[in-house]
Amino acid sequence: MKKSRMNITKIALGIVLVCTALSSQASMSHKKSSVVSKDCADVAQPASLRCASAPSSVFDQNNRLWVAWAYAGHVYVNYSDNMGKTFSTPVAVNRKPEAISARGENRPKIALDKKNDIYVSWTKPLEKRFTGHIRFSYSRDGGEHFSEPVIVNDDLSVSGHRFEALGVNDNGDVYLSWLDKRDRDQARKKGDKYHGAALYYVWSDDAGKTFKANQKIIDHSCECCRVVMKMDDQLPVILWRNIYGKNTRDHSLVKFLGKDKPGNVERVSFDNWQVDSCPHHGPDMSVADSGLYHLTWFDNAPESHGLFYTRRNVNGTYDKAINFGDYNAAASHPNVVNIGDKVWLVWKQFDGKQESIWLQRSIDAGLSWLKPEKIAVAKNSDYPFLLSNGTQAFVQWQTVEDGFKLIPLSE
Amino acid sequence: MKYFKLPYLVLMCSMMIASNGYAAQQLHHFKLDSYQTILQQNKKQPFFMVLWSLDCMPCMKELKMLGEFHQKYPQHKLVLISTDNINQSDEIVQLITEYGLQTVDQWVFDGSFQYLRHSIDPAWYGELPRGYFFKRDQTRIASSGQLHQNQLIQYFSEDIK
Repeated sequence: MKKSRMNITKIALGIVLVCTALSSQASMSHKKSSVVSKDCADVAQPASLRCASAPSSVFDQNNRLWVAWAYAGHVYVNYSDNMGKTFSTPVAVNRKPEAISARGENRPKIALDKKNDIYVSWTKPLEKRFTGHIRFSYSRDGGEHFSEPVIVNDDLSVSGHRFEALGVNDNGDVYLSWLDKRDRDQARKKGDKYHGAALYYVWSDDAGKTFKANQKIIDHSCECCRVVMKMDDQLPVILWRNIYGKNTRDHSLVKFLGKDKPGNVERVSFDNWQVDSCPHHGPDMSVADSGLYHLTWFDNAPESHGLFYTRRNVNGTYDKAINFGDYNAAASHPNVVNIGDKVWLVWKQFDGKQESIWLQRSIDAGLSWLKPEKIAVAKNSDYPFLLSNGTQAFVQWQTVEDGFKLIPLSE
Repeated sequence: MKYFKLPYLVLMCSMMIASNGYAAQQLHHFKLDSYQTILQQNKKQPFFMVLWSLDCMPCMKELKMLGEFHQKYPQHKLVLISTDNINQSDEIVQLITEYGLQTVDQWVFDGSFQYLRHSIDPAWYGELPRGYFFKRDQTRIASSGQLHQNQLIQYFSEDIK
């Protein structure tokens, strides 16, 4: 009797072991599935810009193009001296790998000052959904080495600190602004309601070595659209999607009046898109030397939808917004840049067969616009981003087919 | 002693495999023709189809509402489509299980977002959550943003009348 009980126990243990193996195999085999194209699927291969999903680029004072991008747990920086035809060997900013937000609206950022010191930021997502920390690093030796990344949000709770924007002025004053949920978390602990997130900023007057305390600009921003920061006369201007009332998601702008003094928040758009959803669709802005701002965004309200452009005049008034792009072809993700009175708008469309990049130009500082033109097509691509080297405008466009592209634009 | 009998062990084994693999096996890959497949599979019955994503915060409220709705009205057909990548399948399965929706018809985007979005609705811009209530005759009512349970109850009750 004793013997037969032992045999049954052995059989039971055997079955449990086989079951465990089968069970874990089911889970493992499922993890293998991926949509990454074949030549980019092996993360053991050397990091390459071609396989980066969400790069950002900028020109320095010497017309060198710098790009920041994420790959296999590292933010990398490299440069091109021939307008994106070839690139230098990438340098890892963070030596220890970590999670990096690099998709759509949230991606590593790069900026340079007049001395060509390099500044890089990104969002590190944490284990809990919708949480993250804002990471920052700099290089003083032309991108050969980067400082140990730091977290710039001084609230270190597992909360939302994400979608950062980075701006650096000529003196190397560094500004970061992001969507922050620390106040939302506090409100909810008390049982209070809190719509959206808050817009916070931090700044450094020693070129990123140390940062001042975090400060809030406004409560109730939208939670998942990119924030844009540009410099006007060495001071930041920030544009983002805000929440007005309970759920109206229109755009707002704040212009700093001093280094540590945000001005009043101005409402930019009045489309009244009332939606409790994630648009994942942030605005863009270009600041002219004259103090004129070119602004563009997307909204999808029943009465006012599609892509919009307006100007904020030097005296702080706004022109009536104009609608552009083909709404029926999903015109989306607009970008704007200016060189003097020349202004370029680009955006993405999809006709059911191809993704395309469209361009519309103005030669009178946005007062009138030439006809829109299709400038590039691809099957699967990133959003388009405009940049300029001061004399010429370009579109940065990453496609699955060709990787990183820099498309020069005619005047 | 009786728990060591072979039939019980086989049942235990099946349950262990199922707990890890069942929901994952039910996560269909949403391709260009999948929208038509869903329509075909749900002919002559009203159903609610929701597009959602792991990185969409309002979608979590929507899934919570749908989990509660599914508990109360298991007879009403739901179809969930995640717009994430198939390499996030484990996370998707874990989340839908947390909300008690593991037995609902589940899909995950397998391919370019633009093409798949267009195959469902060219007029949808990608904002999430995005819901479509399909009447028995397969005419649909689209909505962006979180839906209230009362609205969903109303949709189903009006179509059943």
